[in-house]
Amino acid sequence: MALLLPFTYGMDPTVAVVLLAATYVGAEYGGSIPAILIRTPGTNAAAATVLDGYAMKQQGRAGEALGISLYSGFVGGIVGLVVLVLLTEPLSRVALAFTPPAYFALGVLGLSVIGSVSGGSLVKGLIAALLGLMIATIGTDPVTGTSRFTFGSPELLSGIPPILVMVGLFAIGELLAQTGEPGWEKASADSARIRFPGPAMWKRIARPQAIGSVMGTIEGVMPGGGGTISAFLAYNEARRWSSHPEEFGKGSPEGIAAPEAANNTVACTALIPMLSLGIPSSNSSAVLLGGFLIHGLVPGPMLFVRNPEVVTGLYWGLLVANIAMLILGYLIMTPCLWLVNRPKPYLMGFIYAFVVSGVYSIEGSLFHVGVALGFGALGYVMRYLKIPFLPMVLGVVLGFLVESNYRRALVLSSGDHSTFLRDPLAAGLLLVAVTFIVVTVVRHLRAGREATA
Amino acid sequence: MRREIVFGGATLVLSAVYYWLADRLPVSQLSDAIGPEGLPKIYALALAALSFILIIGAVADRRRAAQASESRAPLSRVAGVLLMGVAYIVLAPWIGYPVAIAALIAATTYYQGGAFTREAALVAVSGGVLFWLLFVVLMGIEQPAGIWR
Amino acid sequence: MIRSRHAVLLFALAATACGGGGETRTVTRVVTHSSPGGGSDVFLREMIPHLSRVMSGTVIVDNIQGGSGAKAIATVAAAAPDGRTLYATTPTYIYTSLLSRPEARYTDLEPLVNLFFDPEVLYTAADSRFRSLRDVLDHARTGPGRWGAANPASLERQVMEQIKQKAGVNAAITTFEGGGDMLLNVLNHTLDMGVGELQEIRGQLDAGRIRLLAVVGQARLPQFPDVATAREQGIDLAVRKFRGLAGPKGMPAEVIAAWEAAVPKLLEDPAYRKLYMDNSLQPGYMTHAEYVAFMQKFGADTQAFLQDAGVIE
Repeated sequence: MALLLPFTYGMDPTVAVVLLAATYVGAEYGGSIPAILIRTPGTNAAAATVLDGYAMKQQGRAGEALGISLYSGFVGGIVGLVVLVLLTEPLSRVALAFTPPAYFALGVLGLSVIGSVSGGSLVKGLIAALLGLMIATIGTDPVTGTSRFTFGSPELLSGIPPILVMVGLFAIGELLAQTGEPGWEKASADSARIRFPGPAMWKRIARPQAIGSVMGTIEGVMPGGGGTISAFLAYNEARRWSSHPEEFGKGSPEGIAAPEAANNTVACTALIPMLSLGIPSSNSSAVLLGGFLIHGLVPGPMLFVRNPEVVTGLYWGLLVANIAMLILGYLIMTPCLWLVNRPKPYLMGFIYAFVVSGVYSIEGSLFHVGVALGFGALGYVMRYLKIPFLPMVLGVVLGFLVESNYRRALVLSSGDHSTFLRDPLAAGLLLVAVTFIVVTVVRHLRAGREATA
Repeated sequence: MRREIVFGGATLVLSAVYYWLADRLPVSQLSDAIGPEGLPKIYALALAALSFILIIGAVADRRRAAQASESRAPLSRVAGVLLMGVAYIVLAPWIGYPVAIAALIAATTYYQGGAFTREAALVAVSGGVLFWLLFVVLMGIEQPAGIWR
Repeated sequence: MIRSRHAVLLFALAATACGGGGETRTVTRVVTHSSPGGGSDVFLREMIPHLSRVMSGTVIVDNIQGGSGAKAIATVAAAAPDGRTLYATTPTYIYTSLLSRPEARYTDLEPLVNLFFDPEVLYTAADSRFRSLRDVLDHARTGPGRWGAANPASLERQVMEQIKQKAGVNAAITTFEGGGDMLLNVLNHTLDMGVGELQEIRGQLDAGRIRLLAVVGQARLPQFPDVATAREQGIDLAVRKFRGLAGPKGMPAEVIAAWEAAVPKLLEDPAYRKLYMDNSLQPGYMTHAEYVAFMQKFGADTQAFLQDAGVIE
């Protein structure tokens, strides 16, 4: 969406803001389509959608999965918008409650779902997560500014972007794994069409959507959150509260509805800290912030006083964008579905071309393409050894957040670890995380014992 | 489960190398109590411990039952796909984006079992043009231009 | 990019809406390491329409991100020294050159002219008990002080470390990823004070949520005549966060002369003056010769600081 920015320079500020907001909503949603169709999340937050989305695609239910994702994303977006319009003022105060210890606790909470997305083996999941955390340490040290594990390469100075890891593991890894596999059956006409959920399905996915929206609202308010944590937490909670928990990971509609509702709620509520504090919480909201600045609009409490028409314009823009997303999404998904049902050799060629072009576009770097290829090879090995990807993704995405805030908190407390318990918010989040971890470990141990018995 | 033992061994080596690299990080006056090497060292130790658990588990499993190995593509074929990507990185700055993309599509298609037909060639060429239109013309992202500059 | 097929479609719509919106082909390309919408990017894009009134030809902005500026420096260093490829300087390019030792460093570029200084200010939350820099320092004398700087190895960090050293107080200096992140921790009283550019705290300052403690510069700011400098408050420190232009080595004299003629005119242009004063930029024109000497000293000082701190060898 950064590409669109220059086009808005000459426009009226309100029009520019509406256009940017619309692109923003599209960009935040768009990551889910490749997540379902080719198992490649286009945004960090869409990683949780891969689990059940791709499982459904493999069962020939891609159309249904896309329909649920779009519908849930729409619901989440509208909930987020309502929260944004009605609660910006009180929630911006919540954002202020987040101190370094609380951010650390939030990151730990995100990591605590590792066990739930590890598949069968907790040991393998933890190994993957640690590898992810290690990857996150590459680059500039958050406290001293020295470079770590960069081997003198300036390309590595700002770290390895998580998107490269995901594209490598999922998309290129899949290309490698598919090599030599037989081509697939032609999809039936039924699965090649988008199917919006009917009333029975509405009822079933209402609960995961509610869970997702709540999680999304909470994370969106926190600057720096970005949507990944809430998507995974929503997935985890939706499974806990579901009447069909056994279907999760094997193509459960609820497993799509929860993270999709969550990350689209975040797209709107993330604008709360951006508008009221001028602090963007994701890359795309940072671009939106840049768009504001270029038009001389300074986000902050005074924006609501000085340029109320821009704020109102933004709200309307988001509403229109969410409705447009529903329509455009429908229109664009049909050709996408058609594309993924082409003969396998062609599809593989196009995915490969798409991946190298897309990776290059991020920073115009062929080095990045090489990094993604390397992760593709790793992804192939991990697939072969049945080592889960998602813990690694979580490690890469959250590693920096966890480490920098852990050390920041200790600098501020002069090395006193009790700071994490004295901050009520941090203590609360850590308590929840510990509960998650204990429950997961017990579940894994019990499953292990049953398997041996 | 020999492959798990091998993988566990590899992560064990990795943790040792990573620990060593972390240990060699220069000491800075601007550093905090934890330091740039603090968490990396903990990660390395944890990874080493988990690698041991994985290896021991795999050895125990091996005694119980020999797992049926699944079919997989021979490594040489997998390496071939990767090589095409490497070739793209090397060649794209010379031959230019649309040509490199068309070549990548053609090579992948052929490699994945497609025949070398007129249709395949047509798909590859139109793919190159399509991607060029999409990324360079429509989205305005500069891709390696090569001789087309 | 992969993430957004919608973006593609909307982009198409937008492109049609602006009537194609294509840029005319370049005369001068100014390379910045800033992402679209980032600090330097916004600054350049705001300047260009005004620049075109005092200089012939077209100027375009080229965002070359990656490697904290290393790639942008390398691109410009490798370009032909005909004045058609320039680099938008900020202290980042010195820090990156020193910290990561990339192939092309700041010494491989030739400073052209300087345009502005970004005033660095020390600030605290409006409802905090600190009223001046002295209050913060007194607090840090009796107990642990908690100060923040936006990035780990940056001019701002250097400012905080030097204040701590000069005042001889005990303060924990925390760094963040960018100014917004730190601002939050000043507002919620996690930090006693923060340091940053006036521009990035503008929103909160206007809303009366932030109080300025001191200007870390040569003189008080015309917009805030009541805020004393650090020097006036007993800390002998003044930094100059520069914004100017540099180019490949060996640029022809007429290119240099053209910029030296244009920039003073640009800075006096009333419309542009209003804009940059609103954005809290201080005009800081330097000729080519002055800028080269300035950059040499800035680089040497920064190197000495980083070496003393043990960040680099």
